[in-house]
Amino acid sequence: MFQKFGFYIKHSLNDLRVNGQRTFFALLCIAAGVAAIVSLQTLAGMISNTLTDNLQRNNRGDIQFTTEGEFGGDEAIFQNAVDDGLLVEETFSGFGQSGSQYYVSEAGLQAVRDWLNGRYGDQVELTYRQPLASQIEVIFGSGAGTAITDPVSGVDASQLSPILIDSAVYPYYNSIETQAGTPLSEALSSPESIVLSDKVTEQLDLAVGDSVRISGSDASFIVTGIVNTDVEVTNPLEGFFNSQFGFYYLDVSAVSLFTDVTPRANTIFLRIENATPELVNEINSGLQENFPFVQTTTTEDLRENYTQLSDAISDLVTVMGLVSMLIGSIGIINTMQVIVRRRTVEVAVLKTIGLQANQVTTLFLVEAVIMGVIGSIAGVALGWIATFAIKGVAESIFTTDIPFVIVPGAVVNGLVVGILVTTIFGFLPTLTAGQVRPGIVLRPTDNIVPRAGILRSLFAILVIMLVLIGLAYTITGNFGISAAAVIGSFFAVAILYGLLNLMIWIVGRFFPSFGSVDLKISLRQMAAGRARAAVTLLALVIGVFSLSLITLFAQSINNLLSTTLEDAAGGNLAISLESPDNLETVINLIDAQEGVNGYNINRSYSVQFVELVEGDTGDVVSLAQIGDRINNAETPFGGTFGDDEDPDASQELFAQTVGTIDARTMDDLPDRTFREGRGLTAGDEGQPVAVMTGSFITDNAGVSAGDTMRFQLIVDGEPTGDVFEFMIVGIEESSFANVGFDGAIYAPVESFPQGFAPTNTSVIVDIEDEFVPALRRELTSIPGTFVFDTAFITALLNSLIGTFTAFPTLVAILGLIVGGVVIANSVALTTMERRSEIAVMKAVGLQRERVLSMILVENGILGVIGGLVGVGIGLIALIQLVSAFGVPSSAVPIGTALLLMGLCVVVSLAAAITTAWGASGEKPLNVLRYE
Amino acid sequence: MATQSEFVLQVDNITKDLKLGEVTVHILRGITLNVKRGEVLGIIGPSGSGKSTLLGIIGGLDSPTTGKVYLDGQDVTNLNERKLTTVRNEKIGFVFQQFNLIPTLTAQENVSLPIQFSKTNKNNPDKRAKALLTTLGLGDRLKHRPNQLSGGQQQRVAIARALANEPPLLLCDEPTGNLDTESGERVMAALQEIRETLNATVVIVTHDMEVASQCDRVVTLIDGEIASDVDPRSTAQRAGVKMLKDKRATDELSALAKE
Repeated sequence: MFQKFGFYIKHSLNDLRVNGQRTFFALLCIAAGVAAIVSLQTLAGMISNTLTDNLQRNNRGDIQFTTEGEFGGDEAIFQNAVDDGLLVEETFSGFGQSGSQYYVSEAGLQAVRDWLNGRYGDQVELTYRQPLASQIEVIFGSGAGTAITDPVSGVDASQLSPILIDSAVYPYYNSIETQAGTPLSEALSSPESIVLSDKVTEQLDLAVGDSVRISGSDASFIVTGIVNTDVEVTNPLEGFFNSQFGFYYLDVSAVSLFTDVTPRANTIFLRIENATPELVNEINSGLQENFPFVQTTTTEDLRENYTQLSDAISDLVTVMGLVSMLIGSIGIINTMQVIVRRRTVEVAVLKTIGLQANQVTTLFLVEAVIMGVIGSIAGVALGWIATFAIKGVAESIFTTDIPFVIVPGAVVNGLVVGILVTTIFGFLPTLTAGQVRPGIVLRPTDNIVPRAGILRSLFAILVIMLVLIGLAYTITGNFGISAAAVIGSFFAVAILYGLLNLMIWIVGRFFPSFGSVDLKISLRQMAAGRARAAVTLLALVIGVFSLSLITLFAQSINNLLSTTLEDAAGGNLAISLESPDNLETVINLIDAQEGVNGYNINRSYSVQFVELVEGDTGDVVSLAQIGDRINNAETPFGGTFGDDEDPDASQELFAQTVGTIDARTMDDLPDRTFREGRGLTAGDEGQPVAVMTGSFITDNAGVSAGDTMRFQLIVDGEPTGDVFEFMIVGIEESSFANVGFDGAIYAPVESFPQGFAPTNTSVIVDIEDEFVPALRRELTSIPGTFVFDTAFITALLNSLIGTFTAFPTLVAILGLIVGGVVIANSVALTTMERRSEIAVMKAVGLQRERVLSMILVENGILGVIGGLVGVGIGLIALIQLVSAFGVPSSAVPIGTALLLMGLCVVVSLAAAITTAWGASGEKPLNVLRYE
Repeated sequence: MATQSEFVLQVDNITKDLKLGEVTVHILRGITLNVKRGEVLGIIGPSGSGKSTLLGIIGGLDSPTTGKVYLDGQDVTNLNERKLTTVRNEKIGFVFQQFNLIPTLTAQENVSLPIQFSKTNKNNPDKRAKALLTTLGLGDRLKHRPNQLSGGQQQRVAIARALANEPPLLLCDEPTGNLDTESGERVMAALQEIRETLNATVVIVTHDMEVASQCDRVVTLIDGEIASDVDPRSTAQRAGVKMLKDKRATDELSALAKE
């Protein structure tokens, strides 16, 4: 028993050693897959460690609390607290919306201090962050402290978050230092001292010692330090503004330098001496009971959040790492097939001298396992190296240093999955070894292809599926999902394999050779070896498909946001005016501003729908009839709209949809696509015509171009009684891009009944990006003016997309690398099998370069096929995906798709050159005479 | 019929047909052959006469269409693959023209291999391999891999491997076919020595008349039938050899005529 086992091991090791290049590439396939798992899981572990390592530091105390705005809970609780003087309410209104935000007042802070002192004495202390502007003001860049100007250059940075702190103690459990190493407490020694985040200094080209102006204050501030963004931004779930636009620190005493700023706190931090979880809980409960308006986060809450986050990342990367491993396993199948094929006669000899079929299978399986073990160990090492390369991605997402640690779980998973996957994928080819007939030893030829037989193959596939379902089950914990995913993947892979096989055959068979012998040979070789080529391409296709889907999706959204959003809105800057009386002043400012390409004034009126007069029949349709039409409409999910909704809901929905009509000037109207009728023109001014955006509701209400809609104006919440009408001249294509500040209907401004105030007035300006800050600065002098930059939405969504696609992109790149390794492996195997053929070609006079070029042409064509299929499927999936989001397919980046296809060819060629160079240089006699 | 102890191998009226498309090719047409213990039997014949097929059937590598094969008195004709493998391991030693040594194993490891996979052999694989190789003059080549040995040396390692489990029957397929004259002579000398020292029964398929002339008995196969079965030194054998030569001459002439 041991003797046999010793033989298996010795024989396998010898074989692996003797076949250097083949072994190397096979091991690389396994190692690359395992490295993907190990690096991703290690990274997930490192993130988890970093997040949970110092909860008190990340929470800036044992408990932190804040208050929430209008979405935070019971409005009455906040109002009571405001009445009691514990909270300060700040209201906001703009773009037809309004809301409140609450802060803890000085009295509120004192009340909390008193309560803590009364109960816990000196054991608990607190500090807080004082805001200057509300979050909403930061978004619009309009409140005090949200913009900093360099008085020398006149350039300013806006949408900044001011953080006023007690620099002597903030933050608890940590010390913030400037880039020069000065503690915050020293840097903020006076109210005029300011410490800027690196984002701001980079934007304004400022240095320590420069003086700056802050909006809302007449004082001049001196830059006493620069801090890295990560000192304040601890995780991607919070601090978007801090990381995206920048922030700065002032001492809390600086609040007196700002006019119209009430001292208040937005986040309060508690430090509890000798904190135990029980004590933290007790204080937390006490706080919530006595101050019901607070929203607390304890270190334990944070731990829970972080654990959930890191678990989610861990699950994601495990699944994705497994996919990489499966891509790598294609290399194992190829290698084991070649090993068995090359050694068919040897197997026949072994069977002749007495090895049973199962012993032969075991022999090869041992070789596969040994490869799995060595490859997995190498993969772990490679994974650690890869972790260093990819941890930058996580560090940029989490804006913090993520120190490298060895995560034992990742190592164990990498080893187990690597060995297991290698073994199960090596199983099918080794089964064929057992079936070699010993008789061939008497008449050995090169053409013997061992086959396992249909039943054995099916059995092997079943075993592979079961093991994979088991693996998937350990990750998902749901057998049904695991089984469905594995079986579904097998079918998908089988279909893909068939497709690739067919494409290779068609190209190999019918692609013209243009009289080139080299091309003809390459095409024939490709068609002849299409089974393996198709299997190999599977690896490349899966990698390039994932990469293309993620990259193209991210870029589609980017394209959409940077161009379409602007076009749809009709400009890149929207200015909302609280009072229409300020319109003239705003227009004067815009007219005087350099860089303005055009603008459009938009007044929104609230209206009540009365009836619809159909253009073709003249029939009058009431709201109730429209409600019935919508109720009978079929939904995309099956059934009718009325099935699930309250029958009257459809009427309300319609009334709401057409409840606002925008009155617009006819200059610089947004560029929209019309599915029916036409857009408005300058000639429509004063005419009772309007256009409407198509949607499920309006389409099913039966509104079409040529119909007339009748309304009553609503003033101060009440209909005026006077009915006016608009003829709908065009219906716009509905789209995700129609994010505007308008209603579903817009009409020429002069067509509206005169003498009524609009509910909201805004100006949409098309202005060059570089002049946006200047106009913004001018506008801050007009009270009640809010400015919204479309670049903000673009930046916000791109940041979110960047965060969410970073890991998948990373995995897809790893997948592509593994795919490249599999191709290198396959080319190595193919050239090895064709050594005698190559030798014959060289013997009859072909130069090395020409032999190499044939191999490259073959692999280049395969790369093109892989790219076409991989990127093609990615594109199809993407078009489906973006159309589900209402994104026009024109946003799909075809250029990037072509680049990805090019990448596929480059990967394929690089892999081919690496491996075929040596084989093409072999002396023909060596091969023909001695092999 | 002879007793079990007298004949190691009994081939009873075997035929082998192969279907090639619509055509049935009769490879062997009723071969009956008995080989005594310790006998060295040569099988000669032109290409396509069925020599290797006969050897394959005797060695359990192939099965006959009809007829029986008895090895040491045991009917091995219809054994399943598992049992046949065991029979090959314990009762038959193979020597091939291409040597067919496992390239990644040393000479000693190659020889010890059949012992390691034997269910009955109690010999120490390493010791037995060493002894056999030393007997065959390769005592100083134990740790050499096949590619470090000459053709003759490789074939002697193959013979040692064939003898590892002390099989009653040694089947040799063109054992000198890939060797120069001197190496071929050394291999034949080794086989003779084995026969004398171990009383092994040897069946040799060969094209080489020199090799055939060293056998106790030579069977000439022509078109799947036994054309002669005689002592090589007898007149009849010389007649068989002449027939063989005539057959070759006829074949060559008809090939020329076709051209």
